[in-house]
Amino acid sequence: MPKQEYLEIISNHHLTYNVFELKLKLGEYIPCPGQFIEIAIPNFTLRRPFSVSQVLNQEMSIVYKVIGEGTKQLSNMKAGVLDVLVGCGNGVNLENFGEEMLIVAGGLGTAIMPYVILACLQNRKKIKVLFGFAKPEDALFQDELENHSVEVVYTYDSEGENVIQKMIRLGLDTMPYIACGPLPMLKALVQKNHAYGQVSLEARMGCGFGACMGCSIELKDRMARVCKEGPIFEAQEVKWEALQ
Amino acid sequence: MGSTAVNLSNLVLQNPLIPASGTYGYGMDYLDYYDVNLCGSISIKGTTLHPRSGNAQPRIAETHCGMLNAVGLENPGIDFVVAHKLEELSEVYHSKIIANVCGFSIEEYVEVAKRFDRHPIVGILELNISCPNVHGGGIHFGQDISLACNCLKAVKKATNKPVYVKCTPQCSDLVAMCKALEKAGADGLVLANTYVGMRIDTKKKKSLLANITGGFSGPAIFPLALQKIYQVYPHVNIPIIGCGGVTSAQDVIEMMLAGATAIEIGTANLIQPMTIPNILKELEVYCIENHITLEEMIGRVFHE
Repeated sequence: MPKQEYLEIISNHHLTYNVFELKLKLGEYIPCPGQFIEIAIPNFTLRRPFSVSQVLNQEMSIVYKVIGEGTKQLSNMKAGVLDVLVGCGNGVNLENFGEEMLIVAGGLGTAIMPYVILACLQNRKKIKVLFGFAKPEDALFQDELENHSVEVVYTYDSEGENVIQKMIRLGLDTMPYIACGPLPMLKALVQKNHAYGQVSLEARMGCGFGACMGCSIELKDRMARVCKEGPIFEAQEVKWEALQ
Repeated sequence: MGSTAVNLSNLVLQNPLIPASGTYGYGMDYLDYYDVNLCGSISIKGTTLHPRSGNAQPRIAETHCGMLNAVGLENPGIDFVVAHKLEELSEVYHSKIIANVCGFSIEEYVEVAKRFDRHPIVGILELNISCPNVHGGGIHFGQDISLACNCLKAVKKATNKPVYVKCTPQCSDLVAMCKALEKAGADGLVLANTYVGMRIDTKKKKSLLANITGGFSGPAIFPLALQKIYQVYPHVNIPIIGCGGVTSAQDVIEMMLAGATAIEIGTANLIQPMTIPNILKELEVYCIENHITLEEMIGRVFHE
């Protein structure tokens, strides 16, 4: 599936403290919700994997946090062309869901959701959306989702309630879900909500397209590459105790 | 033979470019990018007798001009590979491949070699006595001349196909090792596997890789691998496949001048999936512009 493309930077600006949004001109290949791209960053050996946040109006958005030297350099690239592998990994599979479903995401895990939500709306799903952040200043996507008339419930750890606690309090803990976020959040989700779920996982990657086995994780009955058989996995097939 | 063709133990490769074991799976992951028949041969993922899950995460770390991997020979085991992976590859790849043989005991190496020997797509067996990411196998054999030769002799008995030994660059006397391997019956050498390295996670204050150490590869090791080829070539009469940090046609030519007949390219494929087609084009132009064949370049630094 992945294709190599050279994509023009449209913009690359701050959203919150150390979170940026990079907009690229869409090339020939249109990624699916849940897929990621691998961006080559000059002077760094390995490409960096980023989930696709949104695809709209011939533009692809990536929302990313600056966590090291590679992402720091990326955040300084305001124009030019990037060497990108587009269409990495599998995407979410909405056919496995009924009409009603839950979107649960925490922190930068929310980054994949605007595109997933768009797909849900296009597939006439009735969605409940829960986003959790550490504090209000970290919150993302309020305007964008309001523009699509999507109601999002935001929770902030600093205000004493996390997104999983909110899910339980709202009685949404039996609703099938798509989730993405920190591992402790996902583990708590799987423990509290036993409905069918798809989760987006991450791992340190070598190639990002299945060739090197660098990102393999344990499922209950086999090994799987996060970059190829994932990053979207069914919650029920993941060996959660093996993930650190 | 075309201008880029080379000869490995009577196996004629249309060009000297071979994706290195562990960076090309079983050949199928690059089909999205190009026709893999462009490759002179393919060295498939290291295969053991029994299926292996490999090492715990994290397995990958970045360095300047390189990377560390501690994959740990994750593979589905020889029987699955022969019955399924090689069959699948045979449908898309029409030259002979190099089968990377791994093990934790001489008996295991022999059994894997026997089963690879039976499949018609296998042209050469690459004896992996240099993987640094498993305990008790791989590099354990490659750092002891007597163990290495005993392993080789046993594997040679199990197959009629050429056996090339993939050496670690980190044995105490690589020239002595290679001479001993040639005497023990090696049909060729692969110089060389990765170097052992590590990184530390400064936030967690522990080693970044779960395995603690990993194999260091990429452009930073090119001068080191090149020197190994240059060092060993005058002392053996068997072909050398050069391996280590190759990213360009320039690197390929340097290794061939130093004595390599063919070149394995690994890390570069992970970063730039089009590496092999790009290098091949450059080599073809090089041969035309200089009115030479690549075969003429082998070891030429010693003849000038």
